[in-house]
Amino acid sequence: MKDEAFLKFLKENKVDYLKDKDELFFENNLVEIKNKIISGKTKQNIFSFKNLSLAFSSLILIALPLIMLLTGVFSVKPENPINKKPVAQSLNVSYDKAMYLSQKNFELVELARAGYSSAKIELYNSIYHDLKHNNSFDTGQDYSGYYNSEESVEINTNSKNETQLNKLAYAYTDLLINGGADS
Amino acid sequence: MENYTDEELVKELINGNEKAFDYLYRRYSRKVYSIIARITKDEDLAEDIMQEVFVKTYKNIKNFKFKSTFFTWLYRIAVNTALTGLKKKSKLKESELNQEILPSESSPDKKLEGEYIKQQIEAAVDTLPEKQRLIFSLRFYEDLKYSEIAEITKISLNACKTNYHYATNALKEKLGVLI
Repeated sequence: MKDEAFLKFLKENKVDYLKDKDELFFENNLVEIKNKIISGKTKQNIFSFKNLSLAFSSLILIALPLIMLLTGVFSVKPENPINKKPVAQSLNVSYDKAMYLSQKNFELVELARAGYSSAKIELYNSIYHDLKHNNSFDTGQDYSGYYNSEESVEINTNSKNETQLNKLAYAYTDLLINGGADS
Repeated sequence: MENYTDEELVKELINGNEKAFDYLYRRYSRKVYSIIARITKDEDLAEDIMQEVFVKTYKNIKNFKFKSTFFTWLYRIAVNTALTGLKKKSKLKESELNQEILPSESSPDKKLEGEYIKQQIEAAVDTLPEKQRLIFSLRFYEDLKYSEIAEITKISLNACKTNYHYATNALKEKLGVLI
């Protein structure tokens, strides 16, 4: 069968996901979207520094340093920052393009550094998945800065086999968690 | 505002005219819903994701730099959010995805034949690798140009064409018995 006939057959039998969706459905959704936007703004306003009362601000300003001193917050060592340079070098991409990590991945790195092995595994899986299916790291969907970038990091992994992908994902995971110290 | 271009509406929205958001939504909500539903194949999930997409669009509109068209930018958010939603859902196991589509030995009821064929096509599309499935859906079902798909997925133009070609061949092989 020729391609044209086959594609015509597919077209004639495609599932129409809009079949049962009328105008009302989309208008209701618009209302819900606006509600979410408004509730997001309200939340921001509630926690906005401007909206705190002066008395509460003063209390915080006086009490917070004291609490921090007492609980030893100041004695906590600064966290090991994510070292993008070795990542960039190992993957042969420019440093400033090294990655646009998703917020989720940042959280996983933090959890893994705190000793949660499951976070390390999840991070590895996430990176491996991106390498295998997208040829890039920046799933970045939850990272608002991502949309600002309007670009992504393309890593050509088409030519890499499973073992190489595994190694790459493992090395990348290690670099993120340990800053390349162990690699 | 009905006759405003996307670019004009986006500028209005950035300048604080929230009515512009309604116009953009009404212009693209159907298309966005359609592609999300096609990626997730779950209408409830698609509804949630569509809301998330437009909330993200609203929140990030000031970051839109007019380097691409609004349409491809919006679609990119939609595709990324849908893929994340699908990953979270992740009901389909790898083994299920790799299963061959075999036609049922018993011939289906005539009345249900149309639905049966649609299901078989959907199942066959599901077996395609993620990239091929995405490119095939955007090209074949959403009628997007290769250049638009390349912009949305950030995959090169040639790779888009190749993936579409592979996807079509794979489907033809799997579904040939139905025709």
